[in-house]
Amino acid sequence: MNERQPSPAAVTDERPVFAALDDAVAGAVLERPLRRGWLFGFAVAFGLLMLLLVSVGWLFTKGVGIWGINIPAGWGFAIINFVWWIGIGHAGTFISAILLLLHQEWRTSINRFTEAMTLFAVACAGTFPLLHLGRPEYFYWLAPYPNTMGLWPQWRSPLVWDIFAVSTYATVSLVFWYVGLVPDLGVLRDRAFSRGKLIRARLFGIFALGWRGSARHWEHYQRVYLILGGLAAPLVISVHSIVGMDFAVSVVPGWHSTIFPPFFVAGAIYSGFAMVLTLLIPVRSAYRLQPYITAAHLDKAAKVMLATGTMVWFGYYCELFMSWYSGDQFERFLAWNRAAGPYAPAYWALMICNVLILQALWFHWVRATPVVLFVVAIFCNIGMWLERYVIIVVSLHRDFLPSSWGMYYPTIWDWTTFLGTLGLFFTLIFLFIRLVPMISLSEMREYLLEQRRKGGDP
Amino acid sequence: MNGIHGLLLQVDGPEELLVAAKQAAASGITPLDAFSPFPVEDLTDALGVAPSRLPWWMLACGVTGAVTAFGVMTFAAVVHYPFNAGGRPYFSWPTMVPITFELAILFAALGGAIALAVVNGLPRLHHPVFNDRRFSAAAQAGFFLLLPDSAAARAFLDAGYAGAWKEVAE
Repeated sequence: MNERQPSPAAVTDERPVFAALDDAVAGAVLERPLRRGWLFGFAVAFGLLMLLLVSVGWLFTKGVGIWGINIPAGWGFAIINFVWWIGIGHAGTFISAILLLLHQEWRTSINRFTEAMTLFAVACAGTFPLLHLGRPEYFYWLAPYPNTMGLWPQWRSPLVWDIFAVSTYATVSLVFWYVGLVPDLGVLRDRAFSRGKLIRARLFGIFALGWRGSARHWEHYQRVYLILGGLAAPLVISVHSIVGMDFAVSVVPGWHSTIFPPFFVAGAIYSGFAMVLTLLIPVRSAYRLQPYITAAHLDKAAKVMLATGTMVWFGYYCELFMSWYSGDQFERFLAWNRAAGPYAPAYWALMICNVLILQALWFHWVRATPVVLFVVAIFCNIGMWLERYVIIVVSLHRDFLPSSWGMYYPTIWDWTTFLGTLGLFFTLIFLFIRLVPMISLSEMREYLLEQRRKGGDP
Repeated sequence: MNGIHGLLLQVDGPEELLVAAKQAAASGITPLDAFSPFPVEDLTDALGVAPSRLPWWMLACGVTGAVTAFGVMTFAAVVHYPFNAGGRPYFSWPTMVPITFELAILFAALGGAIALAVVNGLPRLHHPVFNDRRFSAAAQAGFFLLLPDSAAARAFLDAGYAGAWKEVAE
């Protein structure tokens, strides 16, 4: 391991342990000057965000006809991107909630970042179903509200479940993130105040709500925080299961399958950990967070990817097997059409990314070499996007009647909208890096102190 | 502004804070509060703070959410807008489970977060302990014990912690 260790002084006294952590994390918000790397990245992301604005503006002017969707392929990029983004979000909740409940203390240094990733990914995901409505001004028709027509949503539809699942997921993720953030905002407020940065002290002070680390507050706080984690853990499973059911309740070949909910959840956590690595590897080196986000973290994230990715390609085999074993000619045709039809390149690219390249993670040197791991993670992100492309487009474009077959070609506006949400995501990530502590200071201080008491390396 | 809110003692770490709180309690001085960068185990016992009842409140909120969701869906599907879809029963409760679950989580989480702010008296942007320079200089990394201002408390602090405590103005 060629990781940077904290200075020797850090091991002898707890103050320097805290000081090194505070300088790295709170200092990145308060004292670090704007660097060219950040400005350049932010400018690119913000440019893409403006592209989203243009795309959405044009969409609202002209309607969904500017996209490549048609009949039979009514679910194009919008739903592909929705599923891709929301899946990415799930790793954040997995790390912050499920690993919290499992007492996996290594999560402490990455949960803040991955929760932020969740929030931003859900924000990107949430835009797509609304844009796909065709008449987005009537989005509130999805909600049960008293109306003069005496109508109610169709409770039997997973699409209605999805409204509740995704909006609950977004709200609970925000609450969980903010509750975790309040003590750290108190740190920033006091640090800014004692360094004479009064305007920032006031701003952080407002959002810190006057947090002062009182034992009475902590007593309530830690119980509520643990239960929020306990609530978020089944929530994340339910959300992507429901997304899976959006497909599974239909009769479309390749969708009508009971494997979809667990298959989608595994795919979500797999793609989410790929995005975690995509983000953390550059950030930890740019902000010198290696003492906290260590090689062990990358190794563990890669192992989770390997496990969940293996579940995903096991799902691919199950689909193939079932299409043969069911004897259903439409399912058999779908399997053939995926591998040899007009979208075969997407299918084989998906197989290369998610089945072949994934196997690299069995090798220790791949998991231990951040650059290689980063490249593998990028391929897994692409693979999971292609998986949704194959599931949605290939199933829809040739279903039962050859007379109603068609082709789906994304238009330039499909691509700009997708790139635009990447802009939204990375704009928010860049702002988050500068405005909020990237690592939970209160949890990390406790962790470091415990490690030191145990006699291990902090 | 010449009132004194209390006496603020700074100690080095979580164990020292727990010891100080226990010593004060043993000398018959109930500490007003303690401040730490993270929750310190057993400290609430030494301060005489009852365990939080917020988990029960969150349970109540969650049950309310579940009952609300299930009730609204049943009312809509059975009474207000009965709709025959493929001969399925109007009261097809298994399809109502996901939304019932989601609303239970939503109500419990929001109820818990709001109640957390309410019982803690937050937001309260100013508090007398911030008057102590040491407190803000520590940037939430220090360990402090706040004792009520009394002759006994001053004697206790002088005996064990001379120089480590200060008066906190109201």
